[in-house]
Amino acid sequence: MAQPIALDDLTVNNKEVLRKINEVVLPTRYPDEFYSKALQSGELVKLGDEIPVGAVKAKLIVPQHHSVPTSIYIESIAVLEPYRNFGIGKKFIQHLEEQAKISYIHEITAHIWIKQPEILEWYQKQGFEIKGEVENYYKDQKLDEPTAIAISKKF
Amino acid sequence: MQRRKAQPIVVNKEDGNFREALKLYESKQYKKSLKLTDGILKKNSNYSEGLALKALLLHCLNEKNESEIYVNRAITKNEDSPVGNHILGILRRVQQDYRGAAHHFKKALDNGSTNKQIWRDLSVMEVQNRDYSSLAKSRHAYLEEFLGYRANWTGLAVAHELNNDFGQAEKVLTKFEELATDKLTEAEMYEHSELQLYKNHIIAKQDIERALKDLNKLDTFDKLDELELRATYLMKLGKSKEASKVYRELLKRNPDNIKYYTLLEVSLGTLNKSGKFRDSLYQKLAKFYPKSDPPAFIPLTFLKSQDSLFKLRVEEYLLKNLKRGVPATFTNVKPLYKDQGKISIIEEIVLKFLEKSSEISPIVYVWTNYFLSQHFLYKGELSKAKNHIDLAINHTPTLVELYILKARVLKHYGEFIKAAEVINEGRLLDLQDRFINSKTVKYYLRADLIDKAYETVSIFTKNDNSVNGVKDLHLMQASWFIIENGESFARLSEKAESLEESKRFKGLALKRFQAIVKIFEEYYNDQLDFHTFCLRKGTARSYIKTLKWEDQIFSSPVYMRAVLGASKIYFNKFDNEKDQVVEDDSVEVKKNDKKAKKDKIAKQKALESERVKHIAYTDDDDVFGELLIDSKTPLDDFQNKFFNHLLEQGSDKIITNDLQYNLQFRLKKVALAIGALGKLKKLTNDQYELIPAYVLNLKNNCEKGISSILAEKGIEKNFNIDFNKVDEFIDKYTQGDSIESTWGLVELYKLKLESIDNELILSKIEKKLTKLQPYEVLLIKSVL
Repeated sequence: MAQPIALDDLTVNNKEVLRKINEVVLPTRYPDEFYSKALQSGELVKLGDEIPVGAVKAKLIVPQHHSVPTSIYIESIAVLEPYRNFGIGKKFIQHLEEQAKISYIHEITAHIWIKQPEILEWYQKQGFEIKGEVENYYKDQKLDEPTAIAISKKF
Repeated sequence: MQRRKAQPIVVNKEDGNFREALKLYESKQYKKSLKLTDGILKKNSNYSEGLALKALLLHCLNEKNESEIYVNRAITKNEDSPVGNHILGILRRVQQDYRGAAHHFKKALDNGSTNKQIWRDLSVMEVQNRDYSSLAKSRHAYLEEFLGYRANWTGLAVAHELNNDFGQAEKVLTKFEELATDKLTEAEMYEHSELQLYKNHIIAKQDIERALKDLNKLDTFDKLDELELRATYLMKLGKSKEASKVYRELLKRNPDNIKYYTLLEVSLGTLNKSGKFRDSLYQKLAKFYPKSDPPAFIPLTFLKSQDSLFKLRVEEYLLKNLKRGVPATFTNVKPLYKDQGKISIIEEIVLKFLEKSSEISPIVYVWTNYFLSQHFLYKGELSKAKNHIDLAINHTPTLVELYILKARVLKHYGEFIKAAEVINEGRLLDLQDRFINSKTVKYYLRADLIDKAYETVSIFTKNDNSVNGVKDLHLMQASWFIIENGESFARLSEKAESLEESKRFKGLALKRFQAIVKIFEEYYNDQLDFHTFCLRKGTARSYIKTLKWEDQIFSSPVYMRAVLGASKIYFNKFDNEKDQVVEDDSVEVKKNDKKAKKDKIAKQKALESERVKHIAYTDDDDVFGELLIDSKTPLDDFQNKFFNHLLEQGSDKIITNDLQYNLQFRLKKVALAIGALGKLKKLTNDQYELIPAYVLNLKNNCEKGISSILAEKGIEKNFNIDFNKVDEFIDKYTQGDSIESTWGLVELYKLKLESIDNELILSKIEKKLTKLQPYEVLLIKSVL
């Protein structure tokens, strides 16, 4: 893995890879619609690396009464367990930041499950900060403790 | 009197019209030409050339039956007409009846045709028919007429070579070279270079020494071939030291060609030296060519597994590959698996490496498990194979290759449907990968999920005007698909719920097997254009190779599978029908009229959608192969439509003689059946597992009288049997735990002979079943 990490586009031919990675790694389940719309996410959805072992999908957030997006929200980010600590997740965040800057956006946000402190730690290493707790965020997912932590990175 | 006088004038006018009609034929205006020809024939119905032309035109206009009538008329009116015979020759050629065409072309020339081009047409037919002695004469006659073309000289030389007259071939080539000295243009140099090497090859057939001298003078474009030839000649002349220098030069050009290493060793005389000695030779070569695989791999083939050097080298080799995460590592070392000792050493090394592999990188861990899964699959240890591939998939579930292997493991378990589902899961990860698409289709067909297979394969085919890609795959001659499709239909016919359904699947199976025959016949007929094209281009060497290749295409594995598949259906049909009166099932329809009618309509509708799905050709009026399966002469059909090609080109194959035995036994030609058995004995070194079944069948099941006497005598002559100790005879051929030996017993058991202990046979089969792979057990059980 000495070579730089390569990010790949999500295409009609490899779109099932996103589902595969998310289903294997994440505790939450996404509806089919999430995947069928993924192809329209452009640069905000990516696979990494040469053999795809990680995937990120994000979207632009346009708050009410605004006409332009003010932040990028990470809908899903996942790297297969054996391939962590090789910088693939970091590469995803960097990529999203670059995309944000192109659109004059200065914030990336995300939710994480309260029962995964190691994920919080990872985000904090990437420069994210806690914004607060959201109760019952994962209620529909039937997780045993449905509280989420909202986090954000400003730049 | 007056009329007779006028006749020549009329004929002349007719001749003019006739020439006009021929011109129209040549520009493919068949209808206009036919109109004109009809006009001529109206005035003179004895005009044999006109009748011949009409036959040709009718054929081109798809009036096949009408056409033959006019062929006969033309021949009756004047069988010696040069023009008429020329036209009939063309007709036969269009019909791909090349022997008939040769006959008419020859007749046209014998009867004084002035059209010298017919010599060329004739020679093309003769080479297509492999009639080499006539070919040399025709090529010679054609050359005499047209001396100015090199192609004609080449053609004659090739004809002489094919006729094994190398001296004449060389003479012709030399003669042209003399005539052409200093007259060749730049554009002709490639052809010249090719033909110089061709001539060298002809010389080598007569005298190697002289060929080497000739080669030394040459300066052609094909340096590689020059070097290879030089080395071969030197070896044959016993100048191995000089040859070794040439092999070293060849290695420098291509250090990945494994053949050169072996030949180098032959020339150095080191093949009989000790492992250690040879290993040091390869160590040196590996220094020269560090990136090449052969110098690292070859020592593994000759070092003995007990030799500690083997362990050292194989470990180096395996770890180098595994650490780099080479997916094909197993494929690379598979040739070593003939040696049990080597297998266990490899197993030990790789299992040890697995433990620390993830420290190197996660992907190395994956490929190492992938290796081990293949390793255990090879050994038949399925649960271990499954375990390792599951470890790999759980680790990296996004890697397509892993699913292919897992499907293979499941296939060995006999879990065909599950295997297809798993490989499809892999396919979904990369929809543009045509390889896994095709593999998935194959697995669906193995699981007899025809609809799924059609749907999947159609993603990559051209589906204009059809509901799926079946037609396109026939057009593209995708024999892998067609044969699997046919074999699947054959299996479905066994599983079918009703006789009607079973028969439909049998028809479809025969239809696919027939499609394979058609494809191979096309391969064969496609030579036709090359008989002129290659000579014009001067590529005589490749041309000869092509001819030799065509001489054995009907013994290709796919073709043999088609014949085998067809044989089962035809033999089965014959066996079932020979004692039966054909039932008449039209009686029952009248009962319960309304309901029957309704059912019939619903059935027809369902059938129609089935029909659309399976269409293989445009304008096919027998999609279900009903004409094939309804045959009244199954054995003849099998022979003429499938078997004869194989018999002609693959007479030394085991399967050919097995089928020959089965066919001739049914045809009650005992002598031929015995002959086939004798050949099987010879081909297999008297080890063919089915010999007991076949011999005892002949002994017990021939008609009393001449047949049974012939059988007794034939058996006595070929096999040494004491009929009081039949068990010994059976055991001799069916020892071991292979599926083949089990088949041998199964076929015997199925005969239910009174003279042998069937219970004993059955218990032996059951004992063998415990040693077989699950899918093999399924296969055996399905016929028991």
